[in-house]
Amino acid sequence: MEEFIKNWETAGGEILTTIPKGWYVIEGKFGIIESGAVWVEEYNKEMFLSEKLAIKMPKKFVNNMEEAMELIENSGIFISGPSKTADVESFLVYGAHGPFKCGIYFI
Amino acid sequence: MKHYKLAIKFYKEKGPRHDKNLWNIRQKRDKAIKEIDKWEQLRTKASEIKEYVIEHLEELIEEFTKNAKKQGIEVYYAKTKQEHNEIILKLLKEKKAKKVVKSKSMLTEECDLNEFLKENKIEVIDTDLGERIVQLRGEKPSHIVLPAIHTTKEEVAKILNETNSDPTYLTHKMRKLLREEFLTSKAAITGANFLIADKGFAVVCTNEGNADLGVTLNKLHIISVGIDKLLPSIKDLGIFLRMLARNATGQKITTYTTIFGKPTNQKRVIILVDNGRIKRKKSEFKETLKCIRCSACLTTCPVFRRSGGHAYRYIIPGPIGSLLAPLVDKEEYKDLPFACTLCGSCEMVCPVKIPFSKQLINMRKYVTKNKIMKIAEKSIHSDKTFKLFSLILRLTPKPLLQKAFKEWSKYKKLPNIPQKRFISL
Amino acid sequence: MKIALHVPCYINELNPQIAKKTLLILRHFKLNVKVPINQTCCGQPFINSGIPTTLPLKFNEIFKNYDYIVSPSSSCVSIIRNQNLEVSNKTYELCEFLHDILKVKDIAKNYQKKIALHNSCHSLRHLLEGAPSELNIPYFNKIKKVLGGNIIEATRDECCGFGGIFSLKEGFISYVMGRNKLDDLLEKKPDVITGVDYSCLMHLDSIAKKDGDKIEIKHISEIIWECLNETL
Repeated sequence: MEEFIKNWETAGGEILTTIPKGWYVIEGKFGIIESGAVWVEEYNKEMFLSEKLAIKMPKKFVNNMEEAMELIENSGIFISGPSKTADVESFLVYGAHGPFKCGIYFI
Repeated sequence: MKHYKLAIKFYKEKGPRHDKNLWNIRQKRDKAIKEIDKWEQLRTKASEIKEYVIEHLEELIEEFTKNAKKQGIEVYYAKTKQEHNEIILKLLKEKKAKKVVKSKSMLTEECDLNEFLKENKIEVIDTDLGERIVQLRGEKPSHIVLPAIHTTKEEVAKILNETNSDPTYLTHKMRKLLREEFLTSKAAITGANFLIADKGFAVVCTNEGNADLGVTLNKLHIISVGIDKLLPSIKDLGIFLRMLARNATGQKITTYTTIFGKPTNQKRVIILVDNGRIKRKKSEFKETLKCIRCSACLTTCPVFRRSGGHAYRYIIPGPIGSLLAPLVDKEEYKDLPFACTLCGSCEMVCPVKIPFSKQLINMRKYVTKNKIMKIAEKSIHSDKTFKLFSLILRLTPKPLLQKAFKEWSKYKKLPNIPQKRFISL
Repeated sequence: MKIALHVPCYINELNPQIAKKTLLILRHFKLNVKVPINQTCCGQPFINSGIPTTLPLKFNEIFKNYDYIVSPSSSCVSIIRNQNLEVSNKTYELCEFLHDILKVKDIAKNYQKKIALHNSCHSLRHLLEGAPSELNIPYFNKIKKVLGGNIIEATRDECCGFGGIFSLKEGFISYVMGRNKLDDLLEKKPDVITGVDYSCLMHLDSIAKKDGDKIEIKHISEIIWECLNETL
């Protein structure tokens, strides 16, 4: 779990202890340690229109994407931190099109 | 203009910084891939999967089509770029779409879709920030993952009529402008990084979320994708997702990796595009079909880093572009396989082990008709004629040699030729 | 053990000393070395220019009856090794031969000059005489091991820009790459720049001479011979 959090934070993600007001909340299924990403089966416009996104998820992890594939049945999305770009002179900026902030709240 | 001329122009203007930025990315990539102990084994596996895909391409197309249809996805097969563009036009006309948002897709660039739709009075908005920058500048991307890597923040500010050139400010300004476009478009076009034959899924990777925003806001989602993007099964996808972002930019994974299957409340269409791929499968350049467009070969290429991508003039530049462009137009792009020192770096970073050095040499053979060299090859078999050459070399006055090797002499001193050889004359 | 010396044609024409030093080094190790005098060119310039050639077959004919073929040029060796010929796996670059077959090391441990090693692409990425930064493999460098002592390497292990026909087609970028390589190495204040490929070194030297850099550039065989000669 420590390694997952480290990788999630490298991707600009946060760890939430409460879900602050104004954050759009979705549900995550499990985390991928090596990638610092969360598997989410919800898929709607609010997830991308909102400025702050919270992912409620259990403390369930797989080691890497090869293991993750064993658990995937239907469509969905892996999310790793907030939307980002480095298209203006290789300078990393959060909030390219989607959320500026993205946090995980463990249940 | 040929590569060497455009390269001089670019380097003098922007070369050192371009080189430095891309080398930084190369270093991030090196660090990221070294976090995976079995990286080299992953490359071997990925290469084997892709070789299987090429061998079984036709069957996989069939399997994918069947499974995608089961998911409720409409599937088209376009043999040529014209067919691809016509299908999209028809779909957009059905939806009465006058504006379409498009996320990054090298395939639509290959098909000149933007120009085609513009002629048919449909506006295409490229939503990837880098692609939007080059679109507004009236250019093409100079790098397949970092489309605007050749631009400066001041140039970005200029196209937005801004005086503030702070990257964060400019990025958020672009976000605001593009958000308007997202909310007023009628359809979304995306590419796909992978197609999963056993499930009928299409997989799209982005950092910005532009593909997802476009898809979730529109009633029509069109996926334009080359048939070379097929993978046999979802198990294989795991391997490629471990590798793609690390090898491209040094990220552990892209921010968003969306697996598109059954559509909800919208129509999803996949256009499988051949455009020469089946023909390429039967040629000596079939290994180029393994490419997953990670762009690592561009980023590492010491020539690309200094010449910039536009010097290649083809939509896919760098080492992989030098293998693809001459197949599209042999005469126009015959200089590209020579814009290369055969250093082998592309081959070593390639996640699917395309044998670049061998392929670039084959491509040189494909474009070359050098008669003098052919005669030289014949005569050099005998050490006696070789000695004759040596003698001529030693008797030629230096100014004449300088003229004969003018590209060398322009920038460097010509070496002195000693009177005596080791194996004597 | 029957050894043949391959004399790369460009070395024969432009710097015959390298062939001589290589021969002296091999003889120093009491090897029975022959120099086939009917050898010409391994075919590299043609292969790399996209011209069909049968020169590697001629190479095979000339050298196939030897146990090892040693060449002071990693680019020629890598061409031969890629050909799937009888000679392919018994043709060695000089340092590779010293390392793998003679198992010699630390020859230049007490060399009085500070050496910068230019890892040429053919040596590093084609023959894997060292670990290229692109791969996830443990660090090693056979040439450094053979030399021993404190050897400097460039910060970037990228190409110097020679590239044979590339230097004639893209003189400017070729120059820039060479300039960058020199700057990278010179920043570490070496007394001498060396490498296993004279083609790269000749390219770097021609830039240093034109730009007025005061740096000694010599082929690795010259340094190795200097060291061996000293200990005699």
